[in-house]
Amino acid sequence: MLAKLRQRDYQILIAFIIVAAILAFWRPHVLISGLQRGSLYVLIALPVGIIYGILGILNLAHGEFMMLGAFFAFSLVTLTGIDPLIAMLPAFPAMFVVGIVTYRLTIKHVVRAPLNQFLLTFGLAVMLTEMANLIWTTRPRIVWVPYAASSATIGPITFGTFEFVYVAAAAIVLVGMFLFLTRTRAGLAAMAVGQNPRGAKLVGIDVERTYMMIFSACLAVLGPIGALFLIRHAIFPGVGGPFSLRAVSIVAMAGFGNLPGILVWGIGLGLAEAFVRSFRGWGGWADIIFFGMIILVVFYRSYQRRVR
Amino acid sequence: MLVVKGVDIYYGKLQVLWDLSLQVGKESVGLFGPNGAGKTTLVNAIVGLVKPANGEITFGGRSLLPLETHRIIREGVAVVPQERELFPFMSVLGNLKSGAAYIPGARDKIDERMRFIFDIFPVLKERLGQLAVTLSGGEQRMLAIARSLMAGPKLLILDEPSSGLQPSLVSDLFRRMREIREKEGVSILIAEQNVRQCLRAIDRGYVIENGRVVIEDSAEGLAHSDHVRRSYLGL
Amino acid sequence: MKKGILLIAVALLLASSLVAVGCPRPVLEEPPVEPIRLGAVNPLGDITGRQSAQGMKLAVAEINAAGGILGRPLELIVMDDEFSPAVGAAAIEKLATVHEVDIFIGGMASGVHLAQIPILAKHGRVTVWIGAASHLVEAAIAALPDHDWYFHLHPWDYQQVEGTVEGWAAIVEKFPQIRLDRMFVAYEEGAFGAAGFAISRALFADVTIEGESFTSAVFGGGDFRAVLRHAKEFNPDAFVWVGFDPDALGMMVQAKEIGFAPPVFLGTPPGWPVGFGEIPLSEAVWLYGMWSPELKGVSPEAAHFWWAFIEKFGEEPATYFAPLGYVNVKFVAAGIERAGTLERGPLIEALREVRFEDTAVGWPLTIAPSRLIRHQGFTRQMILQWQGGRQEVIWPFEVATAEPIFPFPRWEDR
Repeated sequence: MLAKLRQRDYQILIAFIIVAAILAFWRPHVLISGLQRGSLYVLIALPVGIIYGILGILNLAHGEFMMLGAFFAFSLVTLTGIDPLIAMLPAFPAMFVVGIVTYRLTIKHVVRAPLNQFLLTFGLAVMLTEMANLIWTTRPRIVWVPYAASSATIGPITFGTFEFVYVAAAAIVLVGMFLFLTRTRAGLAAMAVGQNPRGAKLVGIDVERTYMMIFSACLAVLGPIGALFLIRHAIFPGVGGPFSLRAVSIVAMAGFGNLPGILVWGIGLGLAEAFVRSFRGWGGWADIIFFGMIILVVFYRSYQRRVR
Repeated sequence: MLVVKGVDIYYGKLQVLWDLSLQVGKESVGLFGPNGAGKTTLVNAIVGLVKPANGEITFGGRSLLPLETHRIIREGVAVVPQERELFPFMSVLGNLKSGAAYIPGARDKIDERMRFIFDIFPVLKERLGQLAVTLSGGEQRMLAIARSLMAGPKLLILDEPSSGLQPSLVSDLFRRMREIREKEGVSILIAEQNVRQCLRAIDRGYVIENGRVVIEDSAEGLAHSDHVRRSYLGL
Repeated sequence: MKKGILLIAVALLLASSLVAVGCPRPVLEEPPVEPIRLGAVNPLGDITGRQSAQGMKLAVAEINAAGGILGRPLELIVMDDEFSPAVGAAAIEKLATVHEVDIFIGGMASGVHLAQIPILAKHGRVTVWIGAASHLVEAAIAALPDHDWYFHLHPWDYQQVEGTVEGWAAIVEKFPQIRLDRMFVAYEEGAFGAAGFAISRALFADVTIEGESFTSAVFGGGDFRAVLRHAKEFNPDAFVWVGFDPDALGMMVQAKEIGFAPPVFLGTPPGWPVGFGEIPLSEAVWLYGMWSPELKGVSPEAAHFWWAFIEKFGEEPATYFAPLGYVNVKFVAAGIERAGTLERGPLIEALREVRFEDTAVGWPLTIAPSRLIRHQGFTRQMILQWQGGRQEVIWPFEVATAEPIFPFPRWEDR
């Protein structure tokens, strides 16, 4: 999963930097908006990638869990009046518990059973949305904090600054995950389980517990992420769906098990969307770009396989 | 001291082991029999990957039946399955370390154990940084055995260790088995089809056919048994 | 033993006589009066549909408390259309055949109503509908061989825009500092937004209009920065966004982010998120609406409705469908009263003549032909502005509750 960066990865990184530089001069807003929104995608996609790498499950309900996290933060904020940024803290353990319960009730029965998983996680997505509908109705909810609209001006460009929090958060989560997986015993155990669960059992790893902990941790991060999401977006039960879709697409494009790739493709998707939007009249295409990108990547990969 | 007593095992409705009993003390024991006789099933049962319908499996006086695999491993039982079950994208070093990292008590002795391992399998020292998936079949087998030894187990079980190995490497392998037994004092249970070579590495052996023990004897006794000579030694 | 049996027998006798005395005696009563049945189909899972039904119930309760209509009580049966055309159509059928309603009322979504029209036409009962704004529905009604039985109270989409053109012309005339020569319209890319933009373009003929589509937050969009930047470059007198409730916050926040504060900032979602008014960014945002809670200050009917609704349901009316549901029933009742009968012919005649000078939505109500159909009620929307967290009515001036704030205050000043 975290194999040493190959030459191709370096090439992609360089290409990335070149594109960023070009955008910085030609269409700086695309760079800023794309980076910010792409980081949000990365934040949601990273846990999906981890769950896939270690449990072998593609979680189609991840956006819906984020929606749950956002509603949790919303409830906390409206009931106690605390700032949503502070609500990030209790949101983590709350979603961790949700993760444990979900795992024990449902996921553990389909680990490494590919066909059933799709039905299960898809069913979870629908169920969570309906549940949220019953509890909170379809009416959009908002919270207002002045810093949500904070902005800065550099030369002729005025842009929003709050969403850089997403960029920072994505960096933190990525680095945190990397350190966890490669430097802690629990993390190394998780990687072992991801590579060979049978072998992991045979070296004394409690594989079942590892699955549960990793799944729950990946859901737990959606608590704080939901709180961050809430600050900038009106939330309603269906708000998570499009993000589930993008998260899964990004993980698929990165190539399963490739965490740094998720960063690249997530930001890439954000930039591509922002780029298309910057052209008057092309805005509508921006939100199906991810679809086009997937098709391209799939064709490219199958072509490569045939060539080999 | 491993004691298997009166074990019946089913796969679904199909019974594969009947009233099976064996023991392994401070010795090397062989488990022989044709393909499909039930050797791997028995190994899986000892390690907790399969649960018997009846019977008892105890180790050091403690029943293994209610325990999950990772707990059985922590009791001091180590297994090298036929498929090796290495971590393909981890280095040789990483694989070795993983053998001890999750066993309380073994974690602090990693460096010491590695020295012992390199003594027995010097080639691993050369390949330390390579990914496990890049090793040859024989080297992977050695790595798997080495990994299982890292925890300093009391009982080492090997399932068909010679399968897929070049003939030249096979006798080499059994020589090392003897070496491990002498140096470590660890009990060994080897499930094998290659009886001739294995006989040199064991003290006692069982022959299983169609899920039942048909012969139990010392290595010498097995070597002179007519049945064994005909069916397994090609004589 | 015998004594025991005797005691038990006496006890039973005593108990049964007590029960007999306590029981209400059957009295010879007149046969129950047959109620007048109103059948409504609303999206009950949504707040608009739910409160619309509540408004209807309030009106029914008031009318029945006053003795009913023609000596008969009103009975209201509400069914859920779940925003689904198939479910909505089936509900009409069921109301017609199983519940045998006399009159159809209610409604909200245009798409649902299109599926209901054939069923309504089949039964041909008097229908007074408060939903469906799409001109496609108007065309479908007009295409029927006969639609005399159909009354439509909700303004059609083109009427709403005509109203806003009329309103803005009046505002620009009364407040000369407000200009409307250049307009930028950001519209959500679906049917709702595109229709809104097309109609605006057609009706605001003397205005220079630029438009750009965006993906609404409802469908996973919500990033309007690019569109807002293009609007800023265009430097309009008025910026208009046509989208849905979840887009409201993002529009304001992102406009502030990029420093875009046109003199007129106008939003036209079907509804606004809860608590939008409390946000400082909402100040001086213009909006359209058929009604405002502030009308309770200038219209006696609106005030009566407001307090009666709160008393009965313990919640405030949140959308104009609440008073509209109320008016729906009041209108039907007035028609029946005037006709003196439920017979189709006379009833239609009577409904056509009903006139309300003041209603719970603040507009007077008369029936007149629209572009294509014979019986249209309300034809206009109001132009409102968020001020201090309240939706103040700016136009029509007869029911205005405040003067406009102009220009849109700078972001730094909030």
